[in-house]
Amino acid sequence: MTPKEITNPAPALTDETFAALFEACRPQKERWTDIPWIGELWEGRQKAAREEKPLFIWAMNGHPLGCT
Amino acid sequence: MIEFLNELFIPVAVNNTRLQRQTDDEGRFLRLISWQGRYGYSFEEAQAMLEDIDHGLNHQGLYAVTTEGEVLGSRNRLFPGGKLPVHGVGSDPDRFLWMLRRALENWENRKTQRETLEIEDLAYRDPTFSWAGYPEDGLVLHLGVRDLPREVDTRPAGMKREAHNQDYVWFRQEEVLSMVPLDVAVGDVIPMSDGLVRRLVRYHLADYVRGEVSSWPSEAIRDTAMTLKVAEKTPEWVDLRLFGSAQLFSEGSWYEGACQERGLDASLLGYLRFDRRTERFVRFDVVAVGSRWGGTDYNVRQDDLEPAPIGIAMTIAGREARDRIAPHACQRRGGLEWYFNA
Repeated sequence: MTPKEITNPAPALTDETFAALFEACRPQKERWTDIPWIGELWEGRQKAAREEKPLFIWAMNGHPLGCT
Repeated sequence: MIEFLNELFIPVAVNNTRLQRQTDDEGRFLRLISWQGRYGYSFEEAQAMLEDIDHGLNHQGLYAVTTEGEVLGSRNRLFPGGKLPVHGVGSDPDRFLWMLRRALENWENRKTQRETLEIEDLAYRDPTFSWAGYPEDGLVLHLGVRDLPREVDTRPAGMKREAHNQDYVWFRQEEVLSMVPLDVAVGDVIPMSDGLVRRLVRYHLADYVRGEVSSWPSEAIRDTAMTLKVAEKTPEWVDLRLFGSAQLFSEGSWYEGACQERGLDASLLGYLRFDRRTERFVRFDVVAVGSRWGGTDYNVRQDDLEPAPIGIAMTIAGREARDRIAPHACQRRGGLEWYFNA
């Protein structure tokens, strides 16, 4: 492994710092999750056909509801 | 805008990585849309291109469409075969809302889906990218990853500081049970199996803060260890502490002339509770903290290659539909077996 000069050290991970680091890094509630996304395109297409509504499609490399 | 989407559209979020190459009607439907909405082809021209899965072009985007694939509005539109945006709305919410309103106007004048339709279930589903394997009886963790505050911040002024990402971590039931043997006693130290450690390290201790990143190759693991220590035991539950470390390093040519390597040096700490009656974890809170450096093709680190602190946290996932999304590392041919056999 190439030695690297660390000018930005990571915080210590201890029993005392755990809770704050956990809260800072865990997935946060975001407003877009209030949308009842359907995760499969065909299922969404079937629903749109039944309800006579247009589809809104969010297509990303990686699943938008997971890691993109 | 959220109410607008909820009431007037059917909102769908999908993985373009597989759909743009999927050889079934679902994949063809996505390509029909993106050839119009992203690349500017007509509905008729797009219909003639549906079998092409070796196009080498990206089909991701935001699209408003009819059930029959007529595009009513889109973001990220490019000239055919080109890279210049025609009317991309970017991430500007006002322009995005304008696009949706324009799509609803177009809906009133649509040529297709003029009446209620019955769309049959898929008669054939391309098995190449099948990631159906949600571990109903196992354990699913929801993972968050972000940059941590820096003492010296050399990132360009325009770079988003609060970038973050998420992923899911899957364990099968037998893997869960392997972590807590029946006869454990307080003070026992249980090494995690090599397979579980490799899965966590290669696929989940990665810098995808700013975008997806390829998993660590097997040889990137320079050193790693994870153990569980029994902290408390009652007839109902077992409390464990997780301790671990990981050093990862690999070389490549992700940014020509600028980046030839990437690395991560992290330590892990976790608090777990195993319910002995249901044989399920009811707490699985783990944090990994360390330094990352370098970047890869997609994670937009070309201006931020020097070592900097990163944090990753995992906890038991919810039970909503979106919590069933497969881990990102599965997204390759035969990905599920690849994932479970790291």
